[in-house]
Amino acid sequence: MNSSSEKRLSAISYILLSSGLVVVFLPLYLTVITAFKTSKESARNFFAFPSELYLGNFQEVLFNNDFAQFFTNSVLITVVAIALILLVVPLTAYAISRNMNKWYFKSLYILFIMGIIIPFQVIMLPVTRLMTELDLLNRFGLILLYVTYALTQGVFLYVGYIRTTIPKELEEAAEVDGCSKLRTYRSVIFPLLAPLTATVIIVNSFWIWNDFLLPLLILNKSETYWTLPLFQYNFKSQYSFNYNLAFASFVMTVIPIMLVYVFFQKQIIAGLTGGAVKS
Amino acid sequence: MKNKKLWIISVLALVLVVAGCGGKSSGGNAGEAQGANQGAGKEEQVTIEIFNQKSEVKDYLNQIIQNFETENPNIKVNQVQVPDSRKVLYNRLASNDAPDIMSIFPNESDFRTQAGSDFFMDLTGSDVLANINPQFLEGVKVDGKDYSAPLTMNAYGIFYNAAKFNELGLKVPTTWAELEQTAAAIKEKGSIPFATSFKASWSVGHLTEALLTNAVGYETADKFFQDPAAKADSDPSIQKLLAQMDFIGANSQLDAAGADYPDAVNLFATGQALMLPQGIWAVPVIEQAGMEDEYKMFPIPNDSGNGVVVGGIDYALAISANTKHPEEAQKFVKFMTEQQTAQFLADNEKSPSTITGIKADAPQTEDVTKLLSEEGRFYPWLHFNWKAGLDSSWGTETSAYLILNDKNALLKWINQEFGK
Amino acid sequence: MKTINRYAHYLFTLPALLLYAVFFLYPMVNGFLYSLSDWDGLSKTSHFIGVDNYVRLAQDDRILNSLGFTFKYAFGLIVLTVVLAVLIAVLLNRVRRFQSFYRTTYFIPAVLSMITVGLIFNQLFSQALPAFGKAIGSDVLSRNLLSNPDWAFFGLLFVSLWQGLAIPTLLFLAALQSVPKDLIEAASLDGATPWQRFRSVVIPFLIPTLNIVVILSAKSGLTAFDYIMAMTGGGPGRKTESVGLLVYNFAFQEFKFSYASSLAIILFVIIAIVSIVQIRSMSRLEVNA
Repeated sequence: MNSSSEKRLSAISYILLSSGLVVVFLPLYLTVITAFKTSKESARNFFAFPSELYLGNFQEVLFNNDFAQFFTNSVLITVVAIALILLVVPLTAYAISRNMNKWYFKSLYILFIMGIIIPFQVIMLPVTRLMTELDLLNRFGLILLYVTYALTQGVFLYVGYIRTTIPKELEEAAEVDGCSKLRTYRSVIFPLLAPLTATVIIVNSFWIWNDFLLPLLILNKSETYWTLPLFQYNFKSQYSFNYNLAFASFVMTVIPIMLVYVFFQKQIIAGLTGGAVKS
Repeated sequence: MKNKKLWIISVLALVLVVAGCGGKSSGGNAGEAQGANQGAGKEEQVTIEIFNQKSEVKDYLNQIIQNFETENPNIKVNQVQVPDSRKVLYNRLASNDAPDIMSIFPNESDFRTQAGSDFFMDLTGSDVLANINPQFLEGVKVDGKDYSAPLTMNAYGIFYNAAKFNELGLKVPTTWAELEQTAAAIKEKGSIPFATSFKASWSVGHLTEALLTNAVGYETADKFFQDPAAKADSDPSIQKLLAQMDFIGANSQLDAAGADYPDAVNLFATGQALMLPQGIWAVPVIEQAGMEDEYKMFPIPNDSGNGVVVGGIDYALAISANTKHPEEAQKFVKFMTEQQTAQFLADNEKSPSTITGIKADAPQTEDVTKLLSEEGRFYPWLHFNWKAGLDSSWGTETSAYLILNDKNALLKWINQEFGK
Repeated sequence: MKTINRYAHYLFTLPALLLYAVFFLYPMVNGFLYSLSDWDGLSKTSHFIGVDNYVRLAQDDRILNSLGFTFKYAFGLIVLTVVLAVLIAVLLNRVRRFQSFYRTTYFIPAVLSMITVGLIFNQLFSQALPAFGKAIGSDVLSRNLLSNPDWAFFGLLFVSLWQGLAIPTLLFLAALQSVPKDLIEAASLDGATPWQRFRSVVIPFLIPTLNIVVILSAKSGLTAFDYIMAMTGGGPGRKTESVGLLVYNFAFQEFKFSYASSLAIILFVIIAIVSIVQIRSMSRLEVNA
């Protein structure tokens, strides 16, 4: 392998990667500039940079709606659901991975794994009716659903991780020391799962934060429960004509998650690749 | 039932707490408290829920509610207006969780099916309906009973840019031949005759139903769909409809296939297209799009020169059969039919009122809406007589024809779905 | 205390089992039962009609049309996801400078919600692209591609890739980085070309990731709903009516609730078969490699 062809290859790599960047950025650029234009201005030229930074769209989105409430709901639901997921999922996975030889645990595992391939459409209709009947069409009900649906992939990832990276001897030693099984789990096993836990937190946070269909089905009973994606969808139907307003609402719902991403991008990317691949 | 719910929730909460080795259970408790707050109201004050399916009405309804609450300090009315409201409402009805009052579309066959399942309060002969013009009640009876209070009407026709029509010396067409001449003249002057939105299949559904009703008359069109022996391939009504659709398609903007409802309105509001076939519900949207020229509306022309208006009940309320506050709910619906409220709603919504003696202030659409009370010039939408859900498929299939021009696919579909 | 400790592992699984049973298994069984009834979603009553819904499904042109589209779409999505994600991952793995910058920016679409992305692209396809098409004088581009019967498919595919590529790329990149350096060096010393090195040394390390990526994109392709809902609504005509959308339409637009349930069950069976085939064939590859 000579160095000149090596150089040519890496030049091609940079060119290809950079053109990919254009594909990624162009739609985002258009979204942002449209949010700063009046509808008349975008009718004239969709691509041009706004002649002045018109803030009216943002004002209208912000002041005509209970934006703070929707934001708080999104945060609350995401945080509480993640906390419960961390409480339930690794514990279950741990119990399963240590008892694969028992039929109960084995079948439980298969049951959870099966969930990965079951399309949501199958349970969408019955679940909505169930939640209505249980009087759970509210934020708490939605959180319960998130914890449940996080089980399928979560258990799969954790079981794989525990079986390949955590030696049984560790907990046997702990148990000899007189630790109860719960103590062992809490003080020995759970801390060791940290890399995968990071992955699980990230994947599930993005999913819950961005999810649309479940909030649409569960939180629609009252506007005070709405999350940001739900607000945005409704906003679109409310102002079907003025798409500049819609773009302003896109920008505003995207800003929080973008900030999180910008600040934690290293951890997020490391977390996503770190845990998942080992499984 | 209540007990079962409580039981399940507490078991779940308990298990979550135990699993968490104590502590960290704030999520569960907070949620439970919310659940408890939700249903119960204070004893002296009654809270009723009104589920509103029409987002355009939301702000006006809130003002009406305010007036109502001032008059009735012991009743609190809570408006709920959510996206995909139809799905949410049907789910709640099916799960015995009906709102006290809900806005519904009483002409549609899904409403009639639900009324047949006793979801709604029977208002027949009730004082609640006393202010409503009996003519409008007639069309929404289910098995001879009243399950809804119709409040406003919608109507379909063709908007036109009156200013540009004057400028170009165009006359408002009354026959189909004149419409063809008008379109040709507009094209010649370099403008687009029709602003249409084939991507919004619902709008094509409305257009084609209104065209068919005018092309062959309501009775003939209605009979065609009810008669299993009339095959689409050989029926003259359908052939005539197809020809008219071809004409509309050929005289629409270049990208009608890719246009959604707002795109079509925008094209009309900016003066690029001079005619917009649409219902009167488009008025607020046209205004929002910044229409500056004067615009008016004419009924869809037909061969005899007296085009008919197609329409139905637009805003209507029904009360749940199982509401815990039947008196308060009736009081509110009655309030909606009082002169002052009805006038306020009609003026702001720009739609004709069903309340006796109320006239909406909407000069743009009056050439069409005045026909609503004229004998033989107003007919209901054809799909009111179809199986529930067929209207949306009809829209999809007719828009597919306009985009893909596959005549046989449409004819085959009609034969299949209408049991021919 | 001792006995509790003996059954501790059973207790550990209890909360998960309870949640899963109430909010997943029970609705699933219910969904299956609905599929055997004639409930329309409106009435208070329904009847057991056995497998009638399934028999009708098999004769329904719309189902066949929709299955055809869905398979084509899922296949396109799987192939392009794997090819492009591996390509981008290889490129990212090659470059020394700006690697983390590229990686960070390529990942941005993945943090956005599907509904936002769908709504944004819907506007871009109807406003931006036609404006561009007119400027360059292209007749096809000056109209909304999403309403073009030949192009709507690719428009949808483009958007799902725009957002969906990020995570597979990241996973492949991590897999590439897990390939031991000395293995590659040994192969080059043996005189292997870059392609040979890639095929015989690198690919075996990608197989587990490939497995995950294929199953996940198969599922997202076969159940495609959000983008289609936000962009084409199944149109033009019924050209992009995916099975996922059809289930939704049957249930909520056309009042065939139980018919929709039976279609959803069929969808599940299809996904199950695809997943099993995938896992079987890949595990064989992994062993052989």
